[in-house]
Amino acid sequence: MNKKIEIKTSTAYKYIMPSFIVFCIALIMPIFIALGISFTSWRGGPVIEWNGIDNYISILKDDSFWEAFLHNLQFIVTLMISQIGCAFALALIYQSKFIKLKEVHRRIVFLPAILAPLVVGAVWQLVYRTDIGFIAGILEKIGKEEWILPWLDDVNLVIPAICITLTWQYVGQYSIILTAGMQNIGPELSEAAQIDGANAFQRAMHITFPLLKPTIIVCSTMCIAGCMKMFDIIISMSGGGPGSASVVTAVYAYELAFVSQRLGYASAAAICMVILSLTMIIISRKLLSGGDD
Amino acid sequence: MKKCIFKKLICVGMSLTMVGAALVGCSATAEVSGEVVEVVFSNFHEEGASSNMYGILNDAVTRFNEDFEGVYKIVNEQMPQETYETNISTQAAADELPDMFILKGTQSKEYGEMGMLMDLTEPISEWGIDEVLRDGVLDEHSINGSVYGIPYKTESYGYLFYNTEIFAEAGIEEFPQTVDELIAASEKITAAGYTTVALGDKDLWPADSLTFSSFVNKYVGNDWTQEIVDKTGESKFTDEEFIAALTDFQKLGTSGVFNSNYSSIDNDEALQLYMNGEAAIKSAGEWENTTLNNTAPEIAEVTEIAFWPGSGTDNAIDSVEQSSAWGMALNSNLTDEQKECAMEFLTNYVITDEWGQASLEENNVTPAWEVTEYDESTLNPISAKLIAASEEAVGCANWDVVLTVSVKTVYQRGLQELLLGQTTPEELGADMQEAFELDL
Repeated sequence: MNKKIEIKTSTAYKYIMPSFIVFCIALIMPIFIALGISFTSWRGGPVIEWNGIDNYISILKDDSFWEAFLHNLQFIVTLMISQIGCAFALALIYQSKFIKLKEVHRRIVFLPAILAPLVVGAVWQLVYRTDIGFIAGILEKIGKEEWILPWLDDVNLVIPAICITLTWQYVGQYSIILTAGMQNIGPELSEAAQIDGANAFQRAMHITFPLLKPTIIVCSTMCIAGCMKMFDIIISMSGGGPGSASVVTAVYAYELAFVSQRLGYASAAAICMVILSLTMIIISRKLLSGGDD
Repeated sequence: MKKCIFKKLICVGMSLTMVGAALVGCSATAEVSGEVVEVVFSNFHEEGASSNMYGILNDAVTRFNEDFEGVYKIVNEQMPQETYETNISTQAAADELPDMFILKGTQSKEYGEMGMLMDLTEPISEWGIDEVLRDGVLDEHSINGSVYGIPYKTESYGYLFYNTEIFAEAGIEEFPQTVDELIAASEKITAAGYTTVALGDKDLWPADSLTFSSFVNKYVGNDWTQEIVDKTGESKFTDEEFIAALTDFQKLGTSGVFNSNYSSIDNDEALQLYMNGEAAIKSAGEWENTTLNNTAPEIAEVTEIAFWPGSGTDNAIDSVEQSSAWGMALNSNLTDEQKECAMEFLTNYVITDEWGQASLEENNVTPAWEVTEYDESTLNPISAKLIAASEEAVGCANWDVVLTVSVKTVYQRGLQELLLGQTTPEELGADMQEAFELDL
């Protein structure tokens, strides 16, 4: 019996091995290479000079890096509320007996998630245009021209505007995950609460939401990771502007590497991004699980 | 049992396919095929690109490959300009630069100092290129007496197209001579329903290269800029005259002289605003003359040329950037045969009367060398007006090409923040000085 399990295990390892090798080459190795480069003042080319932890000390004092991180935080807070909140509401609606053609609804809402962020960015950039944009067009039609604002050109509006795009794109993905989570919750508790006089909102907040915690933790982890590595949508929609109002850490590290050609410093910034991202995920898990995680 | 083996084979096959797919594209380098010496030439002069050099370059490469068939071969590798600089930066980081490629002055100096580019000082003298080129055009690609790029054009940047019809409609008789006059004119132009100056700074270089580089020269002058370029330490970004330039530039931004969406549209879209008759002024580069002339002849007809207004002081001289911007560079790892092939191509197929004549007649782009014979009637009216207007102006540097990358990174985003009123002229000056001192 044990021998059989052993053979099965070794066969499983053999099958996993090719993917594991690719995973190591494509993901693990670059992290260690970046870690190595982050201790140098390399600017490209054959000459690489070791400079110890100088890059990390500079990053601690680098206002631009921390300003970019602050923008990441703004995205995280806004998108946790908007994406997961809307997805939760949608998932509740999909559970309702009164909704017909649930599969069709789910597929339509999920559709934007499969689009490339660069395509989404380009389309939404047009949507937000103040001259030929879709929103501006509607506002003009209803005689509310004064509501037309430079969505992507205003330092205070650019991050909320990008958040709307990202909510539109990923709400379907989160709603599918949350719907799957809801389907694992038996109807007994909800029915018992209904008999006790709880209304739909009370049942959602006091029964469904607490029982969905593990799924919500998964969603929030995905949301934080997504916000910390956010790059393509920013580049296509605002380019990090106006000024540096929407520069996030990934855009900042990219500019350090490929505009300033400070590859050592950019690698240190990327490593800091990974550390900050992991810290954020750990904190969010602790907060959401109430310390039980 | 057979079924099990079949399953295993499928699994192994799929795994190998996956590994293969992951590793595909890891190697794509030009090889020397047989006895033929091959040089890969990377550039962004693709068909339909706005700089419009595709035909001239392709013709030169074709002629060269025919003339040296079986001996030398130039492989013309073209890509879009938007991704070109990033591609070159990535290749530079990996120390895998192409054999021959075009590069901005800022990068040619930077990569040259890192030992990634061939020092062309001796080859250009050996092949007689330095005798043919116009005076001073090599400066943008030289550092510490070494040349790392050979320019093939000189263009004007940072002058203004203005639509005389819109000016007349707004009741403005003369082009403003000072920043305050421009702001006053802008109020009239805006009241008439137009944007005053079209700017598309999404890619960060237009506010610098097409706008501020010539604007600032009226305040600081060429000597001040040259000291910055030479890193003498005499000129500082915290100097009074530079802060005055930033202050006036900020006034333009906060007074609504530029279109409100300048940070989310690119330069082509800004030119479109001018060509559609929606904007009264466009700060331009020379290649845009042809686009304007061919795409919107009715607007070209009512277009006149002016220069950026300044503070109004006596020493504020009209300025227009004269820049080669891009030069042809060679990888320092080229073999002697490849170097010979590249120099033969550059000397006898690029820096020639034939190329220069075609550049002037077909594209109205001035080559980096004197061309004695060309048909002046092919010059479009905008270019002719620019040449006439430039006689009274001084040439100045294109900051996008002469500043170090550290300063450029701070300064280009800083200009947007300045226009938005998010930073003060003093803060931006201090930040630029700090970045500048990093490179001293």
